[in-house]
Amino acid sequence: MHEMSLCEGMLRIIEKKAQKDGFRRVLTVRVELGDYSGASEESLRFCFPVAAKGGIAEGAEMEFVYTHDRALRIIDLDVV
Amino acid sequence: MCVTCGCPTTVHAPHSHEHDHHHDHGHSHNHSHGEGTHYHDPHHDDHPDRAAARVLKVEEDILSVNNAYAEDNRRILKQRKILALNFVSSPGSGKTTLLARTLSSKRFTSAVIEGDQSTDIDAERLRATGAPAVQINTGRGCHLDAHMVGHAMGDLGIDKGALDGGILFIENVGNLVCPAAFDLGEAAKVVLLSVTEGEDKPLKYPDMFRAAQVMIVTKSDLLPYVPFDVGQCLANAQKINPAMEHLVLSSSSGEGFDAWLDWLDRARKAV
Repeated sequence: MHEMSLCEGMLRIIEKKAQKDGFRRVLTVRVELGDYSGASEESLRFCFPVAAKGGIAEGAEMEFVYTHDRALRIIDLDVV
Repeated sequence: MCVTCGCPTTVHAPHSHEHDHHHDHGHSHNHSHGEGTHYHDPHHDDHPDRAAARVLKVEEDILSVNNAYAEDNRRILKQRKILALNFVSSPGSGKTTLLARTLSSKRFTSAVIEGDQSTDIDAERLRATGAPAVQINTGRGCHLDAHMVGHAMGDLGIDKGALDGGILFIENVGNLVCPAAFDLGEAAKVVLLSVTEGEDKPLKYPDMFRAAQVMIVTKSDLLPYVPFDVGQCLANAQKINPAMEHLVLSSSSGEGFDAWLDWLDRARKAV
């Protein structure tokens, strides 16, 4: 269940980005997820709403793009 | 997302993987745009903000925060010529017993960072050998991260020269999955596998065996009593990680232990 820490890491990146780029809500988070990343889409989807509760990414949809490496990163966000 | 089971609502090309459940919720529709086919929950599409949304590039590694701390740790360890090893395994594989015997040999200047969910039993046990040991309790956490380890290094006075030229043993939380993903700044991950576990562990937990540079098969004194095939275990490990070194030893009888201490000595000199 280290996906919870990964989600907290995602939120730190998103919050930093929000301070810099000034958006108030995140509607979609697009994640690149490698076969060898050690993380699973199901767990990330399970943990993210819990970690995001009460913040700017609460209720955000998640989209995943699969790769065949160790990738584990946020590609982009839909924001308003 | 399906609120009852948390199952995915997005399906992608090019990678296809099979799920053991069906997307028969009846509240989604699908359409394709560009590379993949997406299934959206209707309420997302109806969101009043969606029309006003803009796409913001991020392109940032989710582990970047951890990795930055790991690089800080690595820099300090390098400056101080310290060999740092991150010990990982399932609970009960003999990490603490291996460390206790290693420290008792007194061949190296050593310090220990102990990771457990709770208690400082292990740190206490290792302090009895005379080596300084700091315990990290991760609480609900299932792994050590580089930030925690950085603080523990500070507590040990490593940045102030308390372990120059020595070995830092980091015993991770007993867990064969999660610690694989987190770089702590170590020179190598050392994975333990005891003969009371199955020889198929490398196949069942490939992420960890892929992340490790060394595998130690422990409790070899129990081989006469358990159906563990060392050759098969090594073949399985080889299949997952052909470059991984291996050792077979017993921390209680001492069998194979000198080879381990020699390995440590070589690795320390190579820093």
